Amino acid sequence: MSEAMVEFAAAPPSTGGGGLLRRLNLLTAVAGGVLFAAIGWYISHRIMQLGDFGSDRVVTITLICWALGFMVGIGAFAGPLRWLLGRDQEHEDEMFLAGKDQGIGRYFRFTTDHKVVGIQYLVVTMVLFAVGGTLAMTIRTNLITPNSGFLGPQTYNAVVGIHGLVMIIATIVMVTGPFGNFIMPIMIGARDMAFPRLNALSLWLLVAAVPILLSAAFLGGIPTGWTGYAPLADQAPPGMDAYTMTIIVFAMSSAIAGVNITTTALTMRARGMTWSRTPIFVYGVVASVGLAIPAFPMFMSAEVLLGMDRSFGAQFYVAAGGGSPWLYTNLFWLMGHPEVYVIVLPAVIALMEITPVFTRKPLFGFNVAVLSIVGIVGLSVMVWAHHMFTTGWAPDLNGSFMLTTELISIPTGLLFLVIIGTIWRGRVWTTLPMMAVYAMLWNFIIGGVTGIYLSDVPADYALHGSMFVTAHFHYTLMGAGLTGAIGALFYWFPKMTGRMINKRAGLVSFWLVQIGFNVTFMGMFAVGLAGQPRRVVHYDHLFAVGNFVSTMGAYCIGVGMLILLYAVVSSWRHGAVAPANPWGAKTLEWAVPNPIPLENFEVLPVVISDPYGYGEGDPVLPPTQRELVPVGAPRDPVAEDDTETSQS
Amino acid sequence: MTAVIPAGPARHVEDLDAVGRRWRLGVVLFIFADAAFVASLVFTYFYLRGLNTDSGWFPDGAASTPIWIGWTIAAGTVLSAAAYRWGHSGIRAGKEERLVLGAGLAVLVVLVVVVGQLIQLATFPFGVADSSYGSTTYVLGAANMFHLLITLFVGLGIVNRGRLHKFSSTNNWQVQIIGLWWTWVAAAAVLSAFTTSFVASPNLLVGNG
Repeated sequence: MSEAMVEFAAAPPSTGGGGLLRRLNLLTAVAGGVLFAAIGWYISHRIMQLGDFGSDRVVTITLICWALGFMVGIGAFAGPLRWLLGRDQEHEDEMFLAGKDQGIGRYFRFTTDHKVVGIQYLVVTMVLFAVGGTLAMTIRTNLITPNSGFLGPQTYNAVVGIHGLVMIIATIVMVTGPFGNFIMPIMIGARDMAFPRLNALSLWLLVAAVPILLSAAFLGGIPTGWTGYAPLADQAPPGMDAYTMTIIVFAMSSAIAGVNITTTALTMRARGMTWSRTPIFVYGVVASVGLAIPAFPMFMSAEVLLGMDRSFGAQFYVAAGGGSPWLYTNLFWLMGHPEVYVIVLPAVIALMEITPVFTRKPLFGFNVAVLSIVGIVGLSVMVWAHHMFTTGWAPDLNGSFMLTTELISIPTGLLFLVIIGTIWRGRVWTTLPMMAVYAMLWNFIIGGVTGIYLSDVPADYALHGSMFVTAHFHYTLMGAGLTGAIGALFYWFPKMTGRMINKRAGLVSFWLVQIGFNVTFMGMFAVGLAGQPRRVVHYDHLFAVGNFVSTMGAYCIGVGMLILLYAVVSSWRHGAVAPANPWGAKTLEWAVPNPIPLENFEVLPVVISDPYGYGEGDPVLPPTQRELVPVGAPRDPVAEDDTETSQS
Repeated sequence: MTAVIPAGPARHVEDLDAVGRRWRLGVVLFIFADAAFVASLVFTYFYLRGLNTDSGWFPDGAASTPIWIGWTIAAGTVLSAAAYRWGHSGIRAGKEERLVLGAGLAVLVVLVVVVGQLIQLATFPFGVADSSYGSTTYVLGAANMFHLLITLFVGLGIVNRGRLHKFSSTNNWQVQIIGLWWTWVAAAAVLSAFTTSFVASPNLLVGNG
């Protein structure tokens, strides 16, 4: 072996090792966070006397110290320090970091194995959805009657703001976090992500951000909604400091994850995996995180400036000091609209990945799908000001932003056509993942068409700030995005957990959530069209029926989500053991055994055909080569009770 | 998808050039992300300067920071990047001492620039809360400081690792990717100096906005 090679195979076996760094875990992270936060609070409040107990400066410094202490406590800075000192990691260290032979404990450490990180992302996402969903139930309970009095006005505003930000973060990570980390590297034939330590860093930064976000509830809440518009944000209670810090930490996490996933997909695909042989899901994930790379730093800068306004009296958004609230709206929506596609693209494209598997047909119009993704990514950065039609900013530009916004419906529509074309004349194997495909098509059509209404300047003047807008973006982010994520969970659950998901509970959950979802947000469309503004704690009796219907629908979603949680947890613990490839799919993640070996592939595979060649014959292989995924292999007995599908 | 296992030993071997290429792409993407951050700060400066809301950009009687200070800081950063590149060209030719010397010199220059940037931030003839000009100038200086501190950290790492003979003419991808970062930091410092050279607002109407 030449010296220009890095070799891992001849390393000595693990001796267990010792040292402080190997004892770091979630508990030490929390302890570090609390300790640093206490020190930060003491120094800023008592020694430097920067303000009262809960002043903006003191809160901000305390939250920064929490994040720093948490990352120190989890061991995030150990790698850079070792690099600085010239003490490179040995093979044994890398295996420890990857979680080798550590059992369940590896899920609570700074573990670099992408599969562990994927599961960690999945759990964090579920926790975020549980928090955000509970807050949603609270909001809908308050709105069950015009003057329910369930929540006071301040509490209501705080709950709406926290619900919004929790859900935005959850939906941003719900596909690229769990599946982009767990599935994508195996799907492209890689042993791990390009930068395993950065992978763990992005996850733990997200975890560090969660308590910061939730602390807003105890600091006066986020009364601005998730958008945090200035100048209201300049005047809001210290919960707004938690908002800015959450976004700053989360933006770092997202940028790091974006760099990692993009680099992995661009440089680590298996030999023979040309772009035309790369599964469409990889395109979706890369498009999502690729958009996040430039978008989230802008979001971060908007919040840094807001934090400076609040803590140091800077004049970025305060008109009296030469600032402008329009600056915030521009910086915010420069991120904010691409962020919609950061959420929706990977979810829809995960379902696009699923469709050929259950129709047993090649993906219809693969190149069209790729071009559509490129088109959406390109156009998504040119539409931001459609959120600002009614703010008075640059009215002369309204027409051009209306045009670009309406243009984006063309590539989005093409994605629909690709999925419908794949289903067309297929003998569909109607499984839970496939049902999610149907549900997404229904929901996203509604979300997309109502989006075209809102992109129209005159219509937007009438509907802006109404419940119609709330219903529209829920149809997009939840109806398409979350449905896509749930479909992806159903599909990849056997690979991620080694268990089959409880089909009966999954079905009950699916129908409850989908029916409840449409009831909730159709009711919201109705009251929005009738003129009910969003973010109001009381409303006119005119809107009582629509709100009652929406609340009933929301409860239906809540019950459905609880059943989904039961299905996931119980199946994970006691579900039927899943075979390696229960769906007979052709992408590489189904070629590895369950449980998946630490480094996925003993020898890296070479790809010699496209991923959607269902029904096509095997190419003749040289006798020295062993086939990993036999084309047309019989499905496993676990799946045999499902409706048969064609092998066209 | 059909995939095959090629015949060969089951050893997990990775080509060093491939590792280097991967890291280079990663650093370029990080720079891209950071550039978006810096661009939004520059946009903030010119946007608020152009709007001059309620003539509050640079109120009458306000003082501005001398332009030459920003350009001196930028020149120091460019000089440090040049010294680093000289060191990098040395290791590519197999001269370890030149790497340590060049990177060490670059680190020293950055250290001087950090002190200069600190002095500038501490002695601005205005406060962060005085005007939007003051706020944006402060934040650009702070962003530059942040860049310099990261550069100092990675520069020290390269010097130390060079001293420990971690690099050679065939294994210097770490030196190369940090050179990319260093070049970007220099470019950002120049951009920052250029931006803050434009003080007076072109929009001088009283009561505008």
